[in-house]
Amino acid sequence: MNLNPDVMVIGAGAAGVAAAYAVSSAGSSVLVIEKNTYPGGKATASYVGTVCGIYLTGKPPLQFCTGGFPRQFAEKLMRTDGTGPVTHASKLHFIPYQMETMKNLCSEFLNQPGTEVVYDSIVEEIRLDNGRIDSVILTDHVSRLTVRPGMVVDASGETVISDLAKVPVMFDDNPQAAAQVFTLGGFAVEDETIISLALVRNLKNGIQSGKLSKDYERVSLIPGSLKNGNASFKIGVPFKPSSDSAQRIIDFSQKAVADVFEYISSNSEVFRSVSITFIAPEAGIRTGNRNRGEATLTVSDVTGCRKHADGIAKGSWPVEFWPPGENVQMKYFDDNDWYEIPAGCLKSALISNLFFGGRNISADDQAIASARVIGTCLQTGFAAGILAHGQVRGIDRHESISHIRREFEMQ
Amino acid sequence: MKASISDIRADLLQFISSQLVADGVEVLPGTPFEQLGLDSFSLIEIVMFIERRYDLPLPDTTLTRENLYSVESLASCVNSFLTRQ
Repeated sequence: MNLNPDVMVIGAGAAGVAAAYAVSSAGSSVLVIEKNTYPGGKATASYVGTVCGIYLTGKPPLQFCTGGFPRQFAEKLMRTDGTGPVTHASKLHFIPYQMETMKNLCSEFLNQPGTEVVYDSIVEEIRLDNGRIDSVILTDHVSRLTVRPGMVVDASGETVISDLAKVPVMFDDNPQAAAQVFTLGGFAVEDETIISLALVRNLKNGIQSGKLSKDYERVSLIPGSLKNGNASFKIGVPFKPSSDSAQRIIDFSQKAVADVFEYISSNSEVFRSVSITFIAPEAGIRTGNRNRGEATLTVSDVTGCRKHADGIAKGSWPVEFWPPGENVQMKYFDDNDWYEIPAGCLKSALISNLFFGGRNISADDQAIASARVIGTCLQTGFAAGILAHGQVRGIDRHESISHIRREFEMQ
Repeated sequence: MKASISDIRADLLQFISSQLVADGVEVLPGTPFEQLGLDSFSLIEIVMFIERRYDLPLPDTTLTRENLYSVESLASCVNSFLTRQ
């Protein structure tokens, strides 16, 4: 193992995979560390089920948000999965996928010359020297390893590095609801609408008659997930996630899947002979604390479709905010338009060799509710990788930014 | 309960306009529900409205994409149930 990689990437989720791919394509060495035993992050461990933010929001014909890596990733996903974009409310376009397809695709993109991946490992300690990361100590729960990277890209979804380095972060003051995904198999119908409505109707009746807990109000079918008699569902966790609610979320989620399944299979013709075929290992946490960047993406940047000279990503998904226990809140901006994320949102203001990509970039609570989607994470992850590679190689920052803008076909 | 297809159409337009969409949004018999941004929770509100209004239980298997496409398709579906009674 290369203990002195040019770039170290924390997390092999969408952003981490993108960052690693960017770094190795640009010719630098990269070591990726992932806490699970497989890649994909929330896309696999929580089985988000849909990739949003790949297309511009607007009436058909569909337009890709960017060229380059994010488009390549999405096209390969659709080809391998035999899936295509699904449209909601005439203008929101997303790509449903099967868990295994995503896992394999992430593995493929990680399998590049110059890229090493360590699974089942976490960062235990950071040593700083003069405002920069000098060493990163990993553990695989058996032994410790000291890595001395040139740059670090935190694509963990949280503020793992900043927390260990004891530097201030942006607290997630308005955490969004977590969601537990599960899959049922054995459906005889081919129309998703029947499944979706039968589910909502029966659960509503169950709750109104007191036979089912009111906590299970927010259960929905993942659109586009019905395939070969299997369909996936999301249960909204109705209480606010916090730093110590992990066990509570697990307990709630396990019980919720069992209770909902029991009720629906005994009360609806459509669900009579289905069975649980999969429960996502983790409830999907949508947001968390975020890193302090040189710049911060704000909700007015998003809704105002602001562009920047140093823009390194194009966000096309509306603000999609899930308050725990309530209906989702959407804030749309102009059709077929986008906002740009400035490079400063990916660079730590406090540690000189730290970058971030994915859902932990420097953004306010409402802005991240748009920028956290997988399609945008593929962009910010890739961009963070190029910026990190550039800094290690002594390349002028403007040059790195131009490189990203060319890759994404941002004029 | 007896009702003509135009009564059903009118009832549905009234319910949707007043309960489920923002003021000023035009709902026509042919407007796809999808275009109005009605999610599954809203569609179930419509189903429950029909069941109450016409004292007509609608089995899960009738909740198809075709039937729940627009006011027109739904009115037609409800009408065929009522005329069968």
